[in-house]
Amino acid sequence: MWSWSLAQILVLLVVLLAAALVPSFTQRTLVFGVRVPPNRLGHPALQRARRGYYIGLVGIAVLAIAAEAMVDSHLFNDLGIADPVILMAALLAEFVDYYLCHRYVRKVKQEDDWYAGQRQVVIADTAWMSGDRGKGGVWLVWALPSLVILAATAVLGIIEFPRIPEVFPVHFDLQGQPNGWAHKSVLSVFLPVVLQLMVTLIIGSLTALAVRAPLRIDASEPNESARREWLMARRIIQGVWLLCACINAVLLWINAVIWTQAGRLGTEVMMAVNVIVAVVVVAMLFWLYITARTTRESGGRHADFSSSQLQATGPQGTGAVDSSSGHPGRLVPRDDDRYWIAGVFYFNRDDPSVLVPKRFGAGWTFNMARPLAWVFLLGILALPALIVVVGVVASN
Amino acid sequence: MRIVLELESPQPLYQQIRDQIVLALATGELRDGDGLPATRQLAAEFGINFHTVNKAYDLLREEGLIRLTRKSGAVVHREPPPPAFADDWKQRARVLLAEAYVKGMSRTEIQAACESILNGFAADESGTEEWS
Repeated sequence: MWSWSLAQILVLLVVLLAAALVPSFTQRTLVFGVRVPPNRLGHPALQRARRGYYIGLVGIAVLAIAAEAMVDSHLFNDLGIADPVILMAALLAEFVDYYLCHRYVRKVKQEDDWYAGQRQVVIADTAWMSGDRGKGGVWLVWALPSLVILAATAVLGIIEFPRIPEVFPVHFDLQGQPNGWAHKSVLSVFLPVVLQLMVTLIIGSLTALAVRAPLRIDASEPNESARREWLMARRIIQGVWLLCACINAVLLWINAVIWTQAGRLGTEVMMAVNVIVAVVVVAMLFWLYITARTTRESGGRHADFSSSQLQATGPQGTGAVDSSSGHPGRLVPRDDDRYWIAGVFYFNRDDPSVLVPKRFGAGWTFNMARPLAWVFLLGILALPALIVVVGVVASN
Repeated sequence: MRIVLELESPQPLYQQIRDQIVLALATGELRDGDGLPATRQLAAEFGINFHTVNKAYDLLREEGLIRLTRKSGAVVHREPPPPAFADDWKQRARVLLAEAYVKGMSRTEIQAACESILNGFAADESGTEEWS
């Protein structure tokens, strides 16, 4: 079907657009997952890496669309696996594109020894820790839509429960025709509510951790970077809660159709569901992009702070630093590359954080050295598996 | 307050944390009754081992500058100094001033530097006066 391969091409383009926007989300001292001192940000190797990255993305887009067009006219597509395979291949190619740039920047950095003579520091703002971040509860307002929709779905289920037939459809093909039925039981009827609850709980606990995640303050522009990182964090948390509300709303909608009409879902509904998810994802991308752009512009391109300038922003700022090394010098963010596998996976036994800011992209990533991180990862992976298992049990 | 840790510094990290908290107390940025972040929280913010922060807090507690309670964590609480404190401190100040002296800084330069450092400290001395 033409409309479906068009939808698939749109999905591919959104995925590639996201990859193209990622460098603008990231802190300025992180280039393709490599920590770069502020005085090397204008290095020609970085321009070269960026150009290579974008050329790679265009290449991937052309190949993916060509592949899509080829399988479209082929029986192979009837199996329904071509689209996911092309999508996975495109994602993998994106990572390879990133990794080649990462390797190149890292190599140049090591050869030229960019951190030689630089004073590497980490900064914590204790007033912010107990002040603005302490008010994390305020952000629960953004969880409200998700919770209201969840409650509404449960209430609707309870009201409609007596009227639901003994056997009702629970699974639909891409055209919205029912192709799976279940016997009526509390479990089978309320499974979607359980699903909503689990999605909401996982997102709730992740955002609670994200609010407590460390703020990486760039010593070369401490005030701007702190403000920017915190604003980005709030935007992402708000966006994630809106996404959660959308997931819950889609589940409510599907259930309203199943429970009240006890019949077909219709192609329009399936199309609408896909469009809503796509619109929300694209809107979130642009929201983040605009946030990153505006905060960066207002932050400005500051010259490197010397230690005395930093001292002026906080009365005792660098007392310990000054007494230890004696010479004033530029303070730069710590070169933390050694804790990042391929620049994207964090493994640091010393760091008690479970979630830390990502190094390539917006949001956070797990500290793989913390057992709690693995609990979360298993939980996220177990959710779809649980749905399948319970779905099979309920329909038998 | 902002705590800045220099990672390649020969001075240990716990010492850097301790020194900056002492300076914040002197400038009045930290006052009696102010809370300090929990050790794990502060360590997470830096991405360092929480034992390092623990060590700094233990040092400050031994010096009678903060109190550690199970309920409210670390709280600034200045206790009167032990009798030997002034003598110990003079020994350390002597070495510090000697460093300037042997490098050829003049008496007036050293005095002016001391004066300007003291002027940077909080004018509010009510907390210390009751001990003298």
